[in-house]
Amino acid sequence: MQPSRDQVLADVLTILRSLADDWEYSGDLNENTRLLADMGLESLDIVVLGANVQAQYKQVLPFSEFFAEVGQRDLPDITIGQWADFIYAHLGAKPMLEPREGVAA
Amino acid sequence: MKRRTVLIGLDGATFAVLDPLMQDGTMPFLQKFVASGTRALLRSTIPALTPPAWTSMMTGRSPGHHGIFNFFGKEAANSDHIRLLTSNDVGAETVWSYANRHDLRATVLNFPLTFPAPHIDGHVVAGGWMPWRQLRLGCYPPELYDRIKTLPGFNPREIAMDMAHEEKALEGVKQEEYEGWIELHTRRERHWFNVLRFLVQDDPTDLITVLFDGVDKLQHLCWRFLDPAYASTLIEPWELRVREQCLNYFVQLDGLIAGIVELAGPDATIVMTSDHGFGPQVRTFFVNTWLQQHGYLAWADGQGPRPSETSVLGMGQFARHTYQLDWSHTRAYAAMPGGNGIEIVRADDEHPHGVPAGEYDALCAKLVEELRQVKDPETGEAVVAAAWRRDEVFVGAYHDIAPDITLELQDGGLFSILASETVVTPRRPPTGTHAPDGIFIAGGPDIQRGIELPELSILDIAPLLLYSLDLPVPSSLEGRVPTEAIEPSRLIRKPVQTVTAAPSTPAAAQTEHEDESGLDEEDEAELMRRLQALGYVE
Repeated sequence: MQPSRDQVLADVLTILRSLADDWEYSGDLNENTRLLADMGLESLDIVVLGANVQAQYKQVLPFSEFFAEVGQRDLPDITIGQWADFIYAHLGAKPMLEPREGVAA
Repeated sequence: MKRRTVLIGLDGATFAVLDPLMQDGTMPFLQKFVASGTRALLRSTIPALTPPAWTSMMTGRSPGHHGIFNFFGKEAANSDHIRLLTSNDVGAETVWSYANRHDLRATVLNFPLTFPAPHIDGHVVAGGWMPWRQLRLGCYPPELYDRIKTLPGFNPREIAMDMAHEEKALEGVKQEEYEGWIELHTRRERHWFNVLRFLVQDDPTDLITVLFDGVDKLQHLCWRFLDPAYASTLIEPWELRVREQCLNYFVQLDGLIAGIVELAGPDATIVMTSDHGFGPQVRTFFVNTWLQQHGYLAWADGQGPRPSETSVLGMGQFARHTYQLDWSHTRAYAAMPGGNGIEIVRADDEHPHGVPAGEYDALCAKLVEELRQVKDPETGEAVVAAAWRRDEVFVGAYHDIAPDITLELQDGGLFSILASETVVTPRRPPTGTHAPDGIFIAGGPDIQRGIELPELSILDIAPLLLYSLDLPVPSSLEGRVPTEAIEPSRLIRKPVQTVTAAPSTPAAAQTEHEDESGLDEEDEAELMRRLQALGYVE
């Protein structure tokens, strides 16, 4: 069953909180927290976070298009709420993510 | 436990650097190890780049069959969008997975394309472009991160990747930054060793694989400090200090290799490899500028992204091409730094101005021919050594997502995807860049002592690892077990066994049958000739 937007946001916050502990980030973590400016993530972090989201939901999501759109903003950044919105909007829209044939483990 | 097999990856290692370091006493352990084992050049993939090369090494399949051509890949054939490739994109079975299916356990440390961490029986700590803030997500089993983070001195910021540091390896650093940058990589290798030592002592596995990637990083940034050909140019005190720091890195690495060999025990087979070699890059080729000047590409703003003080090649610039190119006037472009790949825009509903199917072959042929004519304006030397169409080099299931044309530059270098006033600019002093010939070193009771073999293929390593683990070698692997590196008595006791089923479908593998002879006729004849020459048989 497709998760609700609130559930997606809760999932995102859970992952980010577990990671933030590892780099001792102690700032706010809520819908309005910006991934780059507030949390100090780099662009590669967000790309890898996206790969993890796909693995978590076993779903292909159009992150490349999303990143291209974000890259054109005057202030290229993403809030946690926007991140959750994007994931929620595209869940179920593309084929399920399956490892390519041959990856047994 | 069966006899252990260890693969020590030295990313980008070349005998051009290692031989002098062994000879001058910087790497005494490696010198002794090589003298008592087998060595050879190891031919890399096309392109000679970390992701395709290590994936070929660990799957025994070429890029057309495993689908990894670069750090990034197209979302689909003819897609404008590229994305970071992950372990889910590897389309052939790895030796780790194969070993698991035969009830052997594996440890995988710091290899590219291992994120998300494959769920193998053993341990995975992902490498490649694995950001340090998310290293927890790159560990399997999931609790592994909490175990390794308690190791003395463990520092996720140093052991995993920091994009800012990664870019410096290719784009350069300020004079005063060299020493700290080298020291970071020296510490980083120590962190990986500490993780390996902990796992070997706490929960040993049958196949242990670890990748030290500082060799590649140092050689990119510090080539002139390492290449003996440039030694006489090092005059300034800071240059001599950088040289000393580089040597210290290799001193420390030598000690870590010695430590791993000791941990593995006297019965282990040790294989050391690199994914590609190294050499000097003397110029930068701005391929998109060349494409623009020849009418194949247009920038939306008319000029395109310019190199800055900190970015020459365009690392970290992915995704910008999607909005910086004028797609109505672009038929060919390079979006991904690293793999020297050029994409052709094929005409379809989303690309009405692309190249019609009937014109594709002619366009590719024309491009290849014109690219071969590009000359360095200073030296008159050809810039492009080879230009391959994907039909020539990427046969396999993933042919359609491979770059349409892949270049090998004359100096082995990586082209820039940025725009420039000139197509070719000199790199003074030269930086280090990839070369096709990496290293192969092996040692242990099953390995021939003190010999140097003709060049091996990177595709031979997976078969060798499987053979060393007493596993049958799938006939679908494209390489072979380099039997000339194996002690003849071992080959008699344990002939190479091949299985006819493809390795990529576990269900099929369950029904595989073993080739009882273990050797095809040619291999058998060659083995007999060698055994006769050695006096083992008459």
